[in-house]
Amino acid sequence: MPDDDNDERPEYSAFTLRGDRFAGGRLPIDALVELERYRAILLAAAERAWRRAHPGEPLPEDFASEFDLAITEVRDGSATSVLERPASAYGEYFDSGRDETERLFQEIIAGLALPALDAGGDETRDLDGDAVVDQLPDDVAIEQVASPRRSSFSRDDLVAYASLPELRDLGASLQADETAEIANPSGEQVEISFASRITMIRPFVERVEELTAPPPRPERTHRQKDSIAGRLIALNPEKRNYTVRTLLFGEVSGRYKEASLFDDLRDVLNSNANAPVIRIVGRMAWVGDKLDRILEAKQVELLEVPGESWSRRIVELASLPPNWDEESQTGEVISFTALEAARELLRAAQELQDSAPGIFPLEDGGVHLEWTVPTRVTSVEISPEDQPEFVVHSFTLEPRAATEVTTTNISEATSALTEALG
Amino acid sequence: MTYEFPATEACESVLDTPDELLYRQITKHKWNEVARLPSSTAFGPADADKGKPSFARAGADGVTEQTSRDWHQQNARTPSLGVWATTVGEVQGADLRTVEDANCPLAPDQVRAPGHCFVDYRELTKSQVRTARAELLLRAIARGELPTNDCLADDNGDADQTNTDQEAEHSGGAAAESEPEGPFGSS
Repeated sequence: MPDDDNDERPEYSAFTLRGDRFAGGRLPIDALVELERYRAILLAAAERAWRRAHPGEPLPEDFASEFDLAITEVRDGSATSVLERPASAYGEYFDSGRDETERLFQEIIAGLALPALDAGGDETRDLDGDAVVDQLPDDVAIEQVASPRRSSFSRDDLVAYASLPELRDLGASLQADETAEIANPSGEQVEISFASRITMIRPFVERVEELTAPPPRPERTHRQKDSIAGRLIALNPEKRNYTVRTLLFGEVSGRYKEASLFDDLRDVLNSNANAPVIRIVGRMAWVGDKLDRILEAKQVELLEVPGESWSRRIVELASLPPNWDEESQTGEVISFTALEAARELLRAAQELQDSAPGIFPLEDGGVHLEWTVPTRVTSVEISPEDQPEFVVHSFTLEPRAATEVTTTNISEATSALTEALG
Repeated sequence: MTYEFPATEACESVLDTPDELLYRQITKHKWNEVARLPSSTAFGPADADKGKPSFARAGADGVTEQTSRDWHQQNARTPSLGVWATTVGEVQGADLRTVEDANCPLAPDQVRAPGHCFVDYRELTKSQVRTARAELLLRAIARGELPTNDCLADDNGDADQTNTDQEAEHSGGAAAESEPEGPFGSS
């Protein structure tokens, strides 16, 4: 494996702890945890640098083991740990990680990172996702790069770093008059004080935690009388449960208590109807706005849906929940009787009109059918009652005229419709 | 024939600008995806409208088909699938009137679209409403959908991707396929 330089351990970074406890180059055992945290952040940054350069590739297995930092010297005046690493094929990524770590803390402490979380902060990355700062000439100081006063990190990068426990805890063992200072061989340095940890690093981490916290669990509610439409796909009489495949909520399981409900459900399964749809009325459990379970079915309605060109639309209307009109937050569930009547009329009109009829829900639970050509609109409104009322209306532009027939007899409605369309 | 209308409020005025377009936002429950046409109910009042369905005046400052749609998308609970229009003159031709009410006071929790006006259906019977809204629909169809971003159809009448997604749940018309699809694809 080729090395990035000679076999000597070049000075990689310096980690200085300042304060009375560290005077005279004393390095308390308690403070070693800060070095461990610093190392973990450096390694994470180096891994990110490697992944940017090798998108989609797995991290080499020996990447972490190659990052073999060692304390080679504790200098006088304060506890300055001189960190060295052996030469490595990954040296450029280790160095990049070190520089990025330093820049990260500079930006957090300068107050640039926190606004970038809410603003996006991607502008300073190029199309490859590399931070533009990485591409600047070596002689451009970090301070110059940071001068536009905006973070050079993307929001995703900041979130990833803030999620590191070691970043969150770096400096946690420091007392009020103590600081930690990280520096690279060229002399760039960042000081993390007790105060900056409280006022800058902690708010940054807490904001990320807010942004990445899972959404609050939706409230679970029970509704005493609700309705849902779907296909009955399974029925278990021993456990008195069943499964319905719904258009809006996928497969929903439910239970029933009354034996008569089993007979209704079995009749649906055994019916000769092609693709039967049922509507179940009963007590239901919701999680947020999603139906979770049918707690107890009290009534079952059957809607036969043969394979016809309008079948999907019929099922869509059958599946509309109560208050389906979001704008007015009203809307009765669509009557199966009205849907069945609508289907009869659609069949009757099929031979007469080429244009695809509109099939619309009505706020009162009825169905509105409409056939439109450039000079004429013909519509039928079907009320939701068990004995529906039909209003067949037709308007023509030339001559400008309207006709309307109101009846509760479907044969009369069909005749009026075929006459209007004919 | 012209219907008897209630007296206008002091803050209202009846429009008499025959060529002025009146924009109407079409939402999913009033859209026939197969024929790619609105329902006539889109041009009449819903129950909550109390005989005063909302339109937006093209002649109002800064109001275009696009801005009226944008406002709707930002403020209404149901997204607009497209903008269709009638005119003040066509409303008059249907024996109705257009009332501009942009200066009327609003309740604290209310918002009003720029250029807001309404077509006055208040004194009409249900049968008269059906006739008038059908006429406005035919006028709008003759004009065609007004192009806006996220519009329902491009020049070839094909849906763009955004609108296909929006319309997936409730498509309005009799579908071309003979068998139900999606979660209802098999029985």
